[in-house]
Amino acid sequence: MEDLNAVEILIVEDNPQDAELTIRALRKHNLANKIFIAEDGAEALDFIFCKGNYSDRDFRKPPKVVFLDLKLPKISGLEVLNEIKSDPFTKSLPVVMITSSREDPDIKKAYELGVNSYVVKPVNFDDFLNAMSHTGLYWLLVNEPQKK
Amino acid sequence: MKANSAISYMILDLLKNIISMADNPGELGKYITAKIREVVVCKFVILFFHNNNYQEISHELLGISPEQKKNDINVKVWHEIAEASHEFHGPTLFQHKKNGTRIEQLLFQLGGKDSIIIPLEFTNQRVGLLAVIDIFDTHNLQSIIDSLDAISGVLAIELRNSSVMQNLEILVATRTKQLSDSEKRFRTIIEQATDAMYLSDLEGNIIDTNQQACKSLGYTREELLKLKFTDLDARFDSTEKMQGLLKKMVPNKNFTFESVHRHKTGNTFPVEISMSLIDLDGSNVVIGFVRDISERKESEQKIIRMGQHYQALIEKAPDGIVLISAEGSFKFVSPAARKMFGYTNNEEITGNPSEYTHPEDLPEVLAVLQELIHDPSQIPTITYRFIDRSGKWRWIESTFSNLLADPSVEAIVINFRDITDRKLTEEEISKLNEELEQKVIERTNELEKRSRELLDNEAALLNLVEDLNLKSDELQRSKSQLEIANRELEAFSYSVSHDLRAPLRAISGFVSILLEDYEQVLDAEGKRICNIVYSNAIKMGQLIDDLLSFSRLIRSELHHSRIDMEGLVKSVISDFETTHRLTQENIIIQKLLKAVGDSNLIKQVWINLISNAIKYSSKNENAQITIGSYSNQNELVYYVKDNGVGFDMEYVHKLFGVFQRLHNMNEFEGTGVGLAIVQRIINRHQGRVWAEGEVGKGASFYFTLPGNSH
Repeated sequence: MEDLNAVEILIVEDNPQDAELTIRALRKHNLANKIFIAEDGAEALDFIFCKGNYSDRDFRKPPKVVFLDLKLPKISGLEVLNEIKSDPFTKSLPVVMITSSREDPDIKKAYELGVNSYVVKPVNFDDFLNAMSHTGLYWLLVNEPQKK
Repeated sequence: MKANSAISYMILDLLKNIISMADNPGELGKYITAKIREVVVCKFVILFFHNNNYQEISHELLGISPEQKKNDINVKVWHEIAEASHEFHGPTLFQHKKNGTRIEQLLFQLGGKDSIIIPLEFTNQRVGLLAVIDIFDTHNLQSIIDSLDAISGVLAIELRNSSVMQNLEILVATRTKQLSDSEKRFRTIIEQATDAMYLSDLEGNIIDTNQQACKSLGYTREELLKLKFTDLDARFDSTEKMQGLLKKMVPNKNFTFESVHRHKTGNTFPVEISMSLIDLDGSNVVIGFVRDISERKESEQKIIRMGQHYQALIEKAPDGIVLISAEGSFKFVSPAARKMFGYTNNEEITGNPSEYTHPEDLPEVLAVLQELIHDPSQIPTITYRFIDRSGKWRWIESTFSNLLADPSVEAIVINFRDITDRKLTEEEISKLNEELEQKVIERTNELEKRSRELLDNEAALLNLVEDLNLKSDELQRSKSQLEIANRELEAFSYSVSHDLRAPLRAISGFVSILLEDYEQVLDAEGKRICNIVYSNAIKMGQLIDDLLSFSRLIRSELHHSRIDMEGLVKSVISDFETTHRLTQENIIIQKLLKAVGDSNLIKQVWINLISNAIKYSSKNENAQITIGSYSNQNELVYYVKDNGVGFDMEYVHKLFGVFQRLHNMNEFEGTGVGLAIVQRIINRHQGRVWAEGEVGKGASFYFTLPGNSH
């Protein structure tokens, strides 16, 4: 991915295999060339707020949606979510929480912090493909972003 | 980026809005910081107000954007930055430096990379500070600096204006308070005065007065302000008399005299008036302080009457009074005293009082008298014996006063009463007391003995209580251990579902990719193996989900309600009809008794039992399932019977275990959790489960629920 300002989907995922499967799901719908993977919460925040290695990125061109795994090393998914939702600049950026289990006690906390939706990663690969590509299509094509 | 036009627009916008906010610096700060951050795009924008009133310089935080960060900022750091900014003028850019100047270090601490500090000055005087911290857009720093410089002038004027306004308001408020305080103080003094106060003009019209005046005359303040001084005073009750009085007065000099005032009811009372002529706001007025002297007058009258009463008092007093002269002889013996000792009024009592005193008591009496003569301020009281006319000793209690120096008395005054009867009673009481004390000692000993016995018992009881406390502590510990175990279990299930599912997802995902992308390379056997890997991964996922729902059952609370079993079972069967080919001949529902329980969980029991029955009878062409219930003593018994493959009663004890299966996968699919869930739910309802079966003939599953619902 050369142009960081053209990224439409930011995937925050520490498991490279889950990331690869997600990209494959999105590729089937020609969405894969606008994806960027952040491997932990700190990198995700640097990307969104144009800091550190991403200081040359244009802050005015945020991704259209963030797929956020809640279980992350360093800075947790909930902390990333909180940073995004408490800054007036990034508050309206859609965040979809991706979790392995619907038993997750963090689901409730994530909704309190203002997450836009959540998706449980199915074990069954066909279901996984459907879940990821539908979510990507919905937020990129169907959802009308909030006008600033 | 069109920074210049965006910021030009901001300047116009700011000019339009901030002028109306001059009298509200807080709102101004909030507005400006948010607006600047919106256009410049950075981590923080902060506005300080530089206050140098009363020679004391302080920095007041006027606004910060984003506002949520307000609590994050370290006030000390900001104030240090504000202090340090005095070293430079005009907008200054600071760039990422760990070991730079003090201000660079401070900005680095805040996470700022490219930051601009703009001191706000009005006619060379510092009025505030604008700080734009960590600008994201580093390509347009110069145009941002220029634009911020352009608005800093307007901002400085606004801050200056608001500071001047603020200072003026504070000054006005302070002065107003001083004036009103002094007026309040004066009014309080006047109102608290115990004298009535009147202020009147030279015609006698009352201009002002106080609470005491209203109280002593019975008028309200409003009524008094309509009256003239001549209406109140019985001596100066005409204007002419008052004019005469005023002629005698010299300005600013007190004139005191006695007069008589009239109460609203018409009653008059004597007063002392202290009057002055004073100059109030350029006109002469009369101020009068009036004191009610009724009591003083009355006291004077009393003293005159007292002398007359005195004689009568002594004559009529029930106590005896005797006056002894300086020489030690009887000077006066009151009628009561004579009567006490058996003398008539006319009989003369001769000799010296010490001759009448009991010889045993005499030394004490003489000693007291000696001391009294030495120190006349004492009024000693002693009891002693005195002989009466018949020669009997009478006990008397006497109080001595030395009035030898008083020219109207010149005597030792002895005031006494006969206490002979009381003395006898006292002796008797003291005898009784002695007896009583003896009894008390005996009883006390007895009580002490009893108390010792009780203490022994109590110690035994305390030991028992201590044992109980220990037991209770143990229980408490067990309980908290249980709570910890429960929490650990919850964390465990969460981690099981998370961490076990991730590798399964990878297995199923990558095997699918293999099948999709390498379809040409793989032969039939290769594809078969891939499919086996895939289906096992899916099955493992199913196992994890079942295990989790089983552990959820253990933890969740029961919500009891009355259950319509027939309705419940029919709804379960109608759900199955869509997925299995069932007919009414296949399933017979007999009478089902109503029960009390958690309807969601009981529904799960029926789902598991009926789906098992359908599954294990699916190979019988004439499959038949019977569902029914009956009442047995205090229990309600429900059952599901089928004519399917059945099971060997030898393995019946394994039926309800988790992951226990009596059939292999090729025969019938399943994870082996269904019956374990049934048992768990029914046990939690205080019921029982059991099964009967025979290989090839079918199986019957029974469960019970408490039968108190009838």
